[in-house]
Amino acid sequence: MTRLRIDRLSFSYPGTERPALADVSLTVEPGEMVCLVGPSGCGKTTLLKTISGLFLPDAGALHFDGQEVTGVPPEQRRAVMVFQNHLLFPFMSVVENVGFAPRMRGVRREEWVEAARAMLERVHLAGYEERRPSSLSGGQQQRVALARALVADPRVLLLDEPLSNLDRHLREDMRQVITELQRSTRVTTLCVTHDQEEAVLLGDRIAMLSGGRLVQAGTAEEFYERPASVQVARFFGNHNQLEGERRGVTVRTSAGEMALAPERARAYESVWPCDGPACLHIRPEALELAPPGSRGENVLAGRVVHCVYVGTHVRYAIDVDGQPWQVFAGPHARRFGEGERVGLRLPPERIWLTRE
Amino acid sequence: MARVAAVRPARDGAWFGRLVVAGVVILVVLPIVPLALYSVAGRWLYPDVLPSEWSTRAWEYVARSRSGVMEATLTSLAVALLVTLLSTLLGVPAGRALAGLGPGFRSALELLFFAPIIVPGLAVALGLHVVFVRVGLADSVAGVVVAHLLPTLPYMVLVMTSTFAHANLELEYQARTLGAGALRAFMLVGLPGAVPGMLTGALFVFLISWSQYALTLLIGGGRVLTLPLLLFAFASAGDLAVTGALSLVFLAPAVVILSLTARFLTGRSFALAGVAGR
Repeated sequence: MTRLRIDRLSFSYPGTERPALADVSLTVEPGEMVCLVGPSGCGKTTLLKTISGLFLPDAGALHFDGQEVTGVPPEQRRAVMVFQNHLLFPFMSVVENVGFAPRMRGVRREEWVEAARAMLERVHLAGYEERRPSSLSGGQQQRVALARALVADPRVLLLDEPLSNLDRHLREDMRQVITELQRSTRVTTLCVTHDQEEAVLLGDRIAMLSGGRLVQAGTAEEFYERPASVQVARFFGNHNQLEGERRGVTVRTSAGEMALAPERARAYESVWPCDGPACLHIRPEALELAPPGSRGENVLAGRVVHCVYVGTHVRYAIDVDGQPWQVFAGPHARRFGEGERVGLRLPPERIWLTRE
Repeated sequence: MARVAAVRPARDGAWFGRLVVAGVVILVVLPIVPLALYSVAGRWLYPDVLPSEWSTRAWEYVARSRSGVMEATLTSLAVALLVTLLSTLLGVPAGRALAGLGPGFRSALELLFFAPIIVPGLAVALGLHVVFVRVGLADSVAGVVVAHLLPTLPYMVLVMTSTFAHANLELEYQARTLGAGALRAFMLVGLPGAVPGMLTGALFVFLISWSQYALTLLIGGGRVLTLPLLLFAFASAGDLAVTGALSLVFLAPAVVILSLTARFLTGRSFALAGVAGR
């Protein structure tokens, strides 16, 4: 198991102004799986290619277990990349593809064939050894590519959108295969995805890139409950926001003055200590509905625009002075009909603040 | 069970296919007919449609060792094969390197590689001859081979550049992250994908070299006798029978290579499709 440390890495494509990676630092613990998320073109794939050694960074360093590998050529790095479009070698059979890495190390034929067979079995492709890659389905090709990468006994495994080329039910299977293999081999893994559900289900942690910069790295819970920016907060959807001006434990907004919970206010201090323009975030399930005419701290007066029962909760769209709010209420709570007036309470302990 | 009749692809394009085959016959096969007739004509005067007397004189002459046709054929073959080999060895790596460059760089270098074709060949050959006399390459097969690289290598480089530019270079990246060095990744993964391109390029190169006249004459100084040189000699001497026979010998490799490699150029052997198709 290898600890991957990315230290202030920067990279620009030749002839471009804007850096593809700017000052990215991230540590992936031994055996950990971190999912890289972010809008397309944010530098996710570039980061993988730089770690694998295909791109030389302009600045910064890469360490595998404390040992610098920044200038080591890709073939000596054992940072194996699985590309989005599988990239199986078309002129080789499946078993030759999977056994490619040990073959390059000069392992005897019987040995690499054995290693390849064993790995094919683990990705549920026993019996496909002599097939040509072109005769396999997309899902099978993806599994062969994964097997080929794992046979190389990588120090770091780099997966580029491993599920994006598969249709829905195959995606589920493949996700399980990846999780299983990653858990059993304990290979340190970085996995690029653009899908938040995938990131949550696959990764031990999530790291978000935007415009080549690392915006936040943390667990799914941290991403959901304590986003570092509006962009991270929006990444999960299910999100209400309100701009305002922070003064100590209150935020003055267009909808009135909102009180913050003092213990939470301290948590923001660590990230962002000063008063000033702020963005208030609250998740739809944290909002509470109250009878019309309710008064008190953090209560707004609104009107139900839309209301749907979806089983686990009731989904409301509520209008407060022209601003839309999304609210998820419990299925057994008091129901409000469309057009009805309603009070909307923002519990202070569920409010999160970011700059911007 | 009833057989499904619709499994064969639609034949809408069949008439177009026939048209192409007819075109090939008219443009390629018909011009050969008078040559073949000349080569076996003893006496063929206007306005006869066919020769009035038949003769095997020309073919006997061509087959005789004293005539030097056999030797010239072998020389032509040796020169063309050497040129093909050399331009492949030089053109494949050059094409791979060019394809790996950025577009701006690439077009500048491509222009440089094409200079020998843009400049009139005869002018280059005259200058080249002076240099070759100095370095001892004039009047030799080696000199002719080097000179033939002039009009052939640019084509090879072009074909290989476009082959590699359209190939997926990421396959080589993949091989490298799996532990193959740059050269090995190219040999094992990049090169096999370039084989059709290589064959196309080699075919062009072989045929260009095979039909070179001016360069061979100038650089070979008459000492290196290739088939085109003999052919021109007989044509200008007005011996139509021998010219006809030699022309057929001259055409042979082109026909053989074309029919063998047509499937690489078109995806399937359309040269044979006209014969076997229906």
